[in-house]
Amino acid sequence: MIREDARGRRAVIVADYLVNPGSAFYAAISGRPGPVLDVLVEDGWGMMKPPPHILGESVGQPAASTMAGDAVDYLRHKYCVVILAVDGLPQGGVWLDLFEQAFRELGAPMPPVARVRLDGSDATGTADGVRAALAAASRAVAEA
Amino acid sequence: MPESSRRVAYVAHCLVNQNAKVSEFAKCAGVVAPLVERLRANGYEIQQLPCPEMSYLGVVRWWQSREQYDTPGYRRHCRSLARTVVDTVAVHVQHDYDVVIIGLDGSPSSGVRLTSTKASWGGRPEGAVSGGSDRTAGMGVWMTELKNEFESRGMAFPRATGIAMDAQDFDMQASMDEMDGFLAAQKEPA
Repeated sequence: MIREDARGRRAVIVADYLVNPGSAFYAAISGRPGPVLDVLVEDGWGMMKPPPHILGESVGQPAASTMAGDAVDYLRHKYCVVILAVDGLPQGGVWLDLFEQAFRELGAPMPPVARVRLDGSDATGTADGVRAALAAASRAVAEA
Repeated sequence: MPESSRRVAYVAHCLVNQNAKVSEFAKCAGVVAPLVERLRANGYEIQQLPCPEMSYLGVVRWWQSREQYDTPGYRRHCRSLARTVVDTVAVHVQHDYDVVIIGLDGSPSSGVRLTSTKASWGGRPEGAVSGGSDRTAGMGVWMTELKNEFESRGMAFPRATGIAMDAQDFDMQASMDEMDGFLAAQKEPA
């Protein structure tokens, strides 16, 4: 029997850059995201974080395949799963193409993608903006 | 960034995603905040290990002991996941990162210093209701296979510890006090 516990029943597949923007791997990226990790922690999101997008597809493909499988199982059991990508980074910084392929192979739709901008041109540089982007993606999951 | 300051922690999947826990074992909504606060305060980047239990049996799996997970099929699954993890760790090592692993002590899969045991479990899952499994010193199946993958490549298994969130007597404050010492320690010179 499934018994309730403290889990929030919502998870986000999140770009490594949004969790580790200060990494040495990202020295060439000029923009910095808003407080994404703070929002995820404070708002009770579970993270599914692939490795850094600068690594090769030999790393990204198996990670995307495993995470897509997990996501499909969550969605089957009525959890909310969304993707949080970065505008301006290749494949959103989260191997969106590999995730599309992985979900297609599983016969499942890709979860909604929320996007964070790094250039300050919209509200996603703020906590409220990140929350709004995630809320919009979550609504799309609920309506699917 | 000075190379000596590069640090990365590979953490058990559920430490940043409590949704992956087997039913009744999630202690918070999503991220284990006290751990992430400490990782950030000590300058660690965060990498997430996959959860082999989740990808093998899904989110509505039964409670299981280490003995039940210790099968050739599950070990094969863990080895497959371990290859990608070690590929990624190797890149961090090449870039002079101090790599640590933080597992989930008490877990049949992700335990580093402590795992679960109940050799009598099998069949109708009533044993879990009548008291759960016991805890014993040792690594879970996933951590064992991850360690094996490092060693098969001639790489040292990184400095590792576990947070005993799957132990019956878990105490977050005591565990975080211990974590402070672990995170502050430096890699031993090669």
